[in-house]
Amino acid sequence: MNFWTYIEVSMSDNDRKLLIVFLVILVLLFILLGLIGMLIRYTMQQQAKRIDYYMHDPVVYHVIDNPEHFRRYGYVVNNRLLYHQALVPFILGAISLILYIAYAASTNNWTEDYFGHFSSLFIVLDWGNPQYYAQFWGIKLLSSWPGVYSYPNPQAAYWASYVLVPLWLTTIVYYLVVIQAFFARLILLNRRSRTVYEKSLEGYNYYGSVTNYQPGYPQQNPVNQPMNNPPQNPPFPPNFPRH
Amino acid sequence: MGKFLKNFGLGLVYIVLLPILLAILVLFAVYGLGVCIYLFFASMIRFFQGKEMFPMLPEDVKVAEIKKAQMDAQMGTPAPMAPQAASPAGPSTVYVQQNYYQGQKENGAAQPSAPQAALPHNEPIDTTGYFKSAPQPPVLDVTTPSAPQLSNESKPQAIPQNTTPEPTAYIDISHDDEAKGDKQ
Repeated sequence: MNFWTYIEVSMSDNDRKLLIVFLVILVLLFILLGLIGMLIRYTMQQQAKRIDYYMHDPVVYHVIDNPEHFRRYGYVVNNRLLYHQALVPFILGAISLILYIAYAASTNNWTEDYFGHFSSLFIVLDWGNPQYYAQFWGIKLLSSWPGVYSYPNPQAAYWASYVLVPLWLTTIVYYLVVIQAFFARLILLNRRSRTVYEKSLEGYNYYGSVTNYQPGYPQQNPVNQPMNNPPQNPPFPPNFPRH
Repeated sequence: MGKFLKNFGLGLVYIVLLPILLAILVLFAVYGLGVCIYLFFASMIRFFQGKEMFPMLPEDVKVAEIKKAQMDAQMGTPAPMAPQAASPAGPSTVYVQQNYYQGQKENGAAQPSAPQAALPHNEPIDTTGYFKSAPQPPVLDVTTPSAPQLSNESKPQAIPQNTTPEPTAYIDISHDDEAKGDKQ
């Protein structure tokens, strides 16, 4: 029984070209998405730093002394920060909502295509035309760049769309950025609550701490920085017989 | 090449995780909306009750108290004194004159002026290079400290001293030359 009898691979020259183009586009798309992801990650790291500013003093002055308290206080501070940062998009959204209601009520048209009207400001491509698509292994793929469906054609009658749509888009994007910052701070809060109060025995030796023992005082710094700990074992006596 | 592959792999991961990330973002957006609505109404209620809209958290109050106590402790300690120079043998007073000019006249000549009254500490810095709220120029008094006072019981009798010395005897040396000449 031949394996290849079950799989029929037949590619024309056109299919081969399409496959190469498709792979190149896919690789470029992945790289672009990777770069965008790295940019978003860097942005979130910068946004998360703000919570450190608010958490610093209560922790340094030992007002907050355990992870649960740290998280509880951090969540309250984070919620307040979210509220203050979200005021701007909420105000923009409220203004756009008032404008929308006033315009729709005055024209008595509540189902106007605002986004369609707004697209009259830009070049619109003909994505829906089937002549720009090709069948590749049963998959419908874009085979060529679509033609222009319409050129910019601003009209005075669409003024409400030209005002409302940018307001809506700004509100949505701004609010999503604020939510992203909120999420980033939340992640950092949980991470800090685990690391700030962490106790570690890494690099600690019990017998090394017995020499010069003073009751009530730790002999070694239990902070999780083993490199900062003093030598664990006492020095070798100089006159001790060695083998 | 390694960076290229890393970006490629990250893009692949983000493509796979994109629906989950978007779902998390939408969930947090709804949660954030709820938080904002709750905080808005809570702050409004506090506002109409005549209270502060966002009162300080207990932890912040404690931190402020600790900071204030530290500040008070620092302000309460006496300022470090400059070491005094060893006093000379005799009584002396040295007045250190400070050429403390507050500014220059329009003609450019520097003129000494009386020190200004103390200004608040938040006064901006004068562009002449001096602080307007600078303290008065110090006058160093390096006089010998006075002798300690003794009580009357233990105080010995004061020895009478003649402040205007009068000669008790006179030596006449007007004829010294004659006597020397006789011997020769």
